[in-house]
Amino acid sequence: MNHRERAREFLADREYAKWHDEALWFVRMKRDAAAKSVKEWEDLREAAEKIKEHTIEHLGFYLREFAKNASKKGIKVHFAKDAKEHNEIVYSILKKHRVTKVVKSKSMLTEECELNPFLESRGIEVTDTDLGERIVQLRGDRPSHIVLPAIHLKKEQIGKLFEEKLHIEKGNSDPLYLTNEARKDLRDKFLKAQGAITGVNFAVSETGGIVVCTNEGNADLGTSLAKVHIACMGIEKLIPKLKHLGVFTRLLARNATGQPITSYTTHFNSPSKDKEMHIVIVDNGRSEILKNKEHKKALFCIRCGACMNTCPIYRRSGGHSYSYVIPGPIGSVLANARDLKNNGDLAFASTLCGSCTNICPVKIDLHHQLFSYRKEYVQRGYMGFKKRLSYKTASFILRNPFFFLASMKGYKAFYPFLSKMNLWGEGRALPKPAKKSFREIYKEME
Amino acid sequence: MKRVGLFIPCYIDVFYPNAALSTLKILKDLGYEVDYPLNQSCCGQPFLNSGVFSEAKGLAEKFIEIFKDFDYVIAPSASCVATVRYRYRELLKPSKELEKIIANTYEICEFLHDVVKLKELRVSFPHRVGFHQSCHGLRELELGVGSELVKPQYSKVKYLLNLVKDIEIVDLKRPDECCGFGGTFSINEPEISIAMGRDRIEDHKKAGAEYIVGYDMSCLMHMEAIAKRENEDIKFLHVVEILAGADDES
Amino acid sequence: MNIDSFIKTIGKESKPSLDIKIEIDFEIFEDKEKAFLHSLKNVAVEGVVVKKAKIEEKIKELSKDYKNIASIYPFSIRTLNSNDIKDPKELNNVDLSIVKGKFGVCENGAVWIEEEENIHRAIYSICKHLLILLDRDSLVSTMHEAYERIDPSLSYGIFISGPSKTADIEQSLVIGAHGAKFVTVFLIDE
Repeated sequence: MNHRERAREFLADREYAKWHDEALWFVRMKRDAAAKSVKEWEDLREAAEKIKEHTIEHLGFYLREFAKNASKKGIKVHFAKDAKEHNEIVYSILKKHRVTKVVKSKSMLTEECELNPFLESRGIEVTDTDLGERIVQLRGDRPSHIVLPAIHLKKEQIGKLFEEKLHIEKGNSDPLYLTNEARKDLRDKFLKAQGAITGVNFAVSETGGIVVCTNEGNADLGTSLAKVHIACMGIEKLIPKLKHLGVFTRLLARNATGQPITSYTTHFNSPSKDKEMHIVIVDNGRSEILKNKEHKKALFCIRCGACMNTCPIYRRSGGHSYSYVIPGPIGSVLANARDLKNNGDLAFASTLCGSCTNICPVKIDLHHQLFSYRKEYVQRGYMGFKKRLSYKTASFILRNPFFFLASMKGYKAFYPFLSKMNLWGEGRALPKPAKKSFREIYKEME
Repeated sequence: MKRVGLFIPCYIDVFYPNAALSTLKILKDLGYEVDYPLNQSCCGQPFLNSGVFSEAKGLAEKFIEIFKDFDYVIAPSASCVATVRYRYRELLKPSKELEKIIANTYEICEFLHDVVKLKELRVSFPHRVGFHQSCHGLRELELGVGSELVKPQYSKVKYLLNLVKDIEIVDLKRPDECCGFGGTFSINEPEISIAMGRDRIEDHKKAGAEYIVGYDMSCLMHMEAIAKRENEDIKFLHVVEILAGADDES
Repeated sequence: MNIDSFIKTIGKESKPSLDIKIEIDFEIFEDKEKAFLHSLKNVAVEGVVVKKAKIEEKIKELSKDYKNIASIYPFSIRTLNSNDIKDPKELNNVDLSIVKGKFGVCENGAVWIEEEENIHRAIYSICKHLLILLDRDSLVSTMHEAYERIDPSLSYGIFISGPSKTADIEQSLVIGAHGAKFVTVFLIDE
């Protein structure tokens, strides 16, 4: 199935699709209010872009610095060239510590690497502790949004799910009640886990430490109770200096959910007493994007999810309509970077309206990225023959006045017939030609 | 006297001659010598946005050939102008002619605001209108400021509309959300495209608009097609039709 | 994979010759305390100005329904010095944690906590109620100023801005996801 087909399924339930659109638009509105409360907002975006640009232009240097400083603080740093290596490293650490139960806070990287099934197949119980992620985990589902993983679900669906999995009272779908029940269940998981896995929001080269931002405090609870903490990060999470966090912590939560900052912004710069801390730094195709002049900007992303909330397509097709682990505009860009041939439909799942580009806190030119992937898609010969032929024909007609005028006349003559054929989708009438075209009127005027 | 070459995208020629006529009338009234070269058709935008650069190239070359001798090229279509201004360099070899055309191609409202610096209008339009800000005009040509940005808000087109007497511009819930046209997107993903258009129409209707007006006829064409199918009682006009003194009959 | 071959595939090893120039004309709050208290309210934190001599009394008021009160500071009311325990899991039943903040940030109500003497980082998130003691004069306007105050050699530090919360179910805000359900900040007046 391609994006269109999945979108069509999503839209089949008009009311549900509308609800989804409104829920995300509400987040966009909260974001607007938060951004507009900071008068220097656009300067912050520019600074963030500059920092990211600088960092990735010296990424090798900063990675080495980071690893050196982290080691000095007693953190063990590992490097993984791909998902497989990443998963194996994580597993080997857990195995060494005889960990059988792990709690995990949100990490899109571990989703990308499919760490959960890897560990589970080796007998380790992995519990996602972010409430949204826990919900999708219990459902055997996957996140439909990178910040709001369960945004596609209605509370009644979650209530039903908890009835079945957590044996809560029947028919209660009050978010407060459901959250409390999840808290009880997860508290127990936290207390029993020997290992904690977290993602990384920022890795600071200067300190050798990482910063993890959550609202729930699940990364804090997990890491502070378990004896070993493994933080997994892509190479693009790096920033040079501590003071640069001033820029990013001001942008991230405001742009993501409209909060002034996440409830917990934790700086892990060393393991706590008698515990171990590991950082696994992953490439998994990122160095390829880095080498691509036109597309390396995609590595600036700080995963705020705002491009999803503002995207009129995403809001009306849901995260699961995208074939990649990260949905929405940035997801489409990353999916195209990874495998253009099989994810080409995502380059076209956009009107190129540019709202994503305007909202991006690090100024990734998202809609231009998609535009340029369309070009590459065609250049590499991935566009089907029939489609290419139709473009060729249309271009030929438009370049030749004789054929152009003839086809316009033809359209007009056959309009009564054509208009019955739903040529422009079922919900749209075919435009009706005017009595006289401008060309005809103009010639008469001359 | 400055010579203006009128660029009328093919669908405007056939479906919306009045938008073209209004553009012509306004420019003539302002004293420009306006010519509409008859061998024109398309700027190549649909091909570019579909990634088919090879098919756009011939059209772009033709565009340059047709319009290279004019002082200004003016079109009642923001997305076509954005294509010329921001995409042609990627498509064509550098040349003086190309740069001249890029520098002198304007969307009609943009031209009236930036070059003519229109200060007053003697037309009246006693209706409630919803102003649709098409994306390429808004975020590429910067005819206004996208609602995502934290910058002083302005809109060149709203400024012009406000010169019209008795007009009432209604407040929308989503002042600049995409209508879902997106050129070939409307064919590739018709379901979403239509859902987006429907939502836009609903927003305008709830705000009490009798007309949806805009500077990109293609978006209006898409919304009009949906409104027709749903028997919605709402009318569509290019902004320039109002500026040129459209009456209710049109 | 070892670091050298990993970095080799990435390249970009040249040392940057210039620092990144960032110029941001950020807001400075004139009445910092007012701005901070306002921000605290926005993130669901109770902020109270407390005279130094009255701290113990105020804590007593706050904790009258609590059984387990943990702190590494010798308040008469504490029932547990959290540094005395071995396994942080024993902190599971703590009702109130009393900690000290270094400074507060006006723009977002975040408090920076960096307690070198503290052994168990769990005390910030495992308790039902977190009480942060903060010097009244230690407020900064924005995160830019905040990071100027943090020593890059720190080993652990946390900005806490409000109780644990989630909006993962239909965007309804629920306070108390995993961590503290209540956060109180005492702004201590010398």
